[in-house]
Amino acid sequence: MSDDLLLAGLTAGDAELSLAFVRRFQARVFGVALIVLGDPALAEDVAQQAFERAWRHAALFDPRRGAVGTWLTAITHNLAVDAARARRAIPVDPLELQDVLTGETPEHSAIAAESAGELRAAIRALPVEQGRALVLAAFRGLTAREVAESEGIPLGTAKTRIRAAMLRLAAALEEQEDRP
Amino acid sequence: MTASDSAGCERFRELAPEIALGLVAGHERAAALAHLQDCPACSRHVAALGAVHDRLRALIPAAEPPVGFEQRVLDRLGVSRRRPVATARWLRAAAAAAVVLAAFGGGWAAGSAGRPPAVASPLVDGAQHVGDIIVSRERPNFLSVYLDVPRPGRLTCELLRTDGSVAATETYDATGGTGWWGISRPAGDVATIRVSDAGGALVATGGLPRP
Repeated sequence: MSDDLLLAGLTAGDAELSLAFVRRFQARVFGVALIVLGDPALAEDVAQQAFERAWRHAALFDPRRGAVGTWLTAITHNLAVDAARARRAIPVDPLELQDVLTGETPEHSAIAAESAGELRAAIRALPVEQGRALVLAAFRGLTAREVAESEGIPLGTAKTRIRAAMLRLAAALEEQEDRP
Repeated sequence: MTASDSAGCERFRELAPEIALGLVAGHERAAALAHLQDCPACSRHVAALGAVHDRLRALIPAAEPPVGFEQRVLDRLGVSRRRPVATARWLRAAAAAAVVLAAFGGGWAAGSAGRPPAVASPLVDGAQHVGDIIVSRERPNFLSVYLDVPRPGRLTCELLRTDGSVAATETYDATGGTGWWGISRPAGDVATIRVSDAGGALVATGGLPRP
């Protein structure tokens, strides 16, 4: 059964379909929360909030703009970043996080293995300082100012590193899509 | 593009990666969004960077939550263990409603725990179930209509009062397959909906759901 229909079942209050929806996405949602927060109890709370938010805001999901899993992942990540800020969670080391992200293809990854492999290769190819800035900004949700403070670098340098990393990855993905 | 537009784009592009990552707030974000509304090129640029962020997040490894997680989620939502009647219809109706309400910028965002946020009633062609009418509890005066379109062409959707007079009309140019549109329900004793084709032949009819 498609993700869209399971989401519809969740919204309609159907117990079996709601259960199927949660089972399909729970490992992905919990994984996102856990990697940002590093604390299983906090991560479970955030993961539960993510499903609740999806249930409440299902009407805002637009299938033309992306998959259910991508939408739910974004909801979870935003909640986890907010929770990390509010509760001052102990952050995962950026290099450790980068290693996790560039490791083996996760079973529940939304991206096909080949495509994810290209992205991982592009991340590994980034200069170390750009990779750190990217991880801090894209996964931990740190602003450029916070990246600057965390890394002990000027604000302008932090902005440049984030921008350069994002543009390199965008270019790598574009190149991959253009390839026959 | 004028020189000032170009300068605006240059300033914006400096900030675009942080916008795409959701790291910009306040006045800076408001100014950036205003620029995006008027600049399709910058809008595409941010969308491409946003897609990078989505793909980065998809790299995060899955992790099994603690035992009992799924039941705790369902309890939190107040989802009944009982399967509702006519699930297939509900499912199709809710899927259609989600699309319709999203397309119309609908406000089906809030619902009370344990209570479906919308109700539906069937559209029939004789004895055949051919579609659904959905109304969100949060927007009781807006009907989302879903229909298995028999053939492409213009459809006329009429809301009828109990005396048979027409209270509201909406037309929809169907391309075949699944058709869906929205129509406002006027105040008064509107009770049924009638959908007819360009030649005036009846395509479907049904009673309106009561939120």
